[in-house]
Amino acid sequence: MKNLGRSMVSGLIGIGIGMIWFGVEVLFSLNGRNIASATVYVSSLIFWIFASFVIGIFFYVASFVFDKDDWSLRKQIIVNFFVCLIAWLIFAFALNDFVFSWLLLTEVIGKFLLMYAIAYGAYLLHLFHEVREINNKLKEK
Amino acid sequence: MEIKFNIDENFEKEKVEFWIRRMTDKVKRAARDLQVEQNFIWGYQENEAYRVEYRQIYSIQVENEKTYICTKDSNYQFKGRLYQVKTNLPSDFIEASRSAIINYHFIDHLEIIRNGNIDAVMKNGLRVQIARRKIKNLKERLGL
Repeated sequence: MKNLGRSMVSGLIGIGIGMIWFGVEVLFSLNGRNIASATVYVSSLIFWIFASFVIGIFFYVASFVFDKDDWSLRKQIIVNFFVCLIAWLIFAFALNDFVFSWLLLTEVIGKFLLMYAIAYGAYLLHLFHEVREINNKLKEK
Repeated sequence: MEIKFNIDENFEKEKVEFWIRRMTDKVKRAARDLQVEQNFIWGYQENEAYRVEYRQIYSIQVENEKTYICTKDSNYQFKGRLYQVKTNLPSDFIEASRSAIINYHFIDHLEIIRNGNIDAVMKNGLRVQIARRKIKNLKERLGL
């Protein structure tokens, strides 16, 4: 039950990040035109909300690797990175009817690297901050 | 929180009552500390048993399927499993990982090592790996 709740939260975070991403893509697609002229199809929006939710849940499931205490953080991140990358590639190519192109592959990997760097960069910064905070408190004792 | 003591050496049985709005971890820890009757565990060194008081213990950890009690300058083997000792420990101890419990009063500092793991460096120099998901418990115990 606890896991279900957490996976739902992760799915909702996925929607949040996905919608920011969606918004940025819409802005880029404008090519300098007025924002009022932007067109967003409801079907496309619903699809991306659902897809973001599923991606969020997938990231939660993939994060189980971080519970393996006997693995170093480096090993956990490497395994998590490749599991997520493979899933992301399958998802991206499925959207394009599995038509392969080097351009698409580069674009998909580039986007993934950017998302991963933002997510785990933020996590590592938070971790360093927590350790510093604890050390300061321990010094006070 | 208001605290009231009724001290009378003629009481047949000592008891503590909590009047609280809701159960919190802090209250649970206080209750557990009050219920701990024994303040030591038996540790073994070369088949000789020693009373090791909780307040002396830096860590209790599992290595090669054996449970060891580490104090400032001695190690003892505990003839039991980690989970067996865990339930009786006072709230000075926190779970560092699935295979280690540490006394947080003896932590000198935390260190992120090269492979990304976090070590708790104890005041006697002993290093105990602390799982990232246990950091939250340590922060809470330190009042952060």
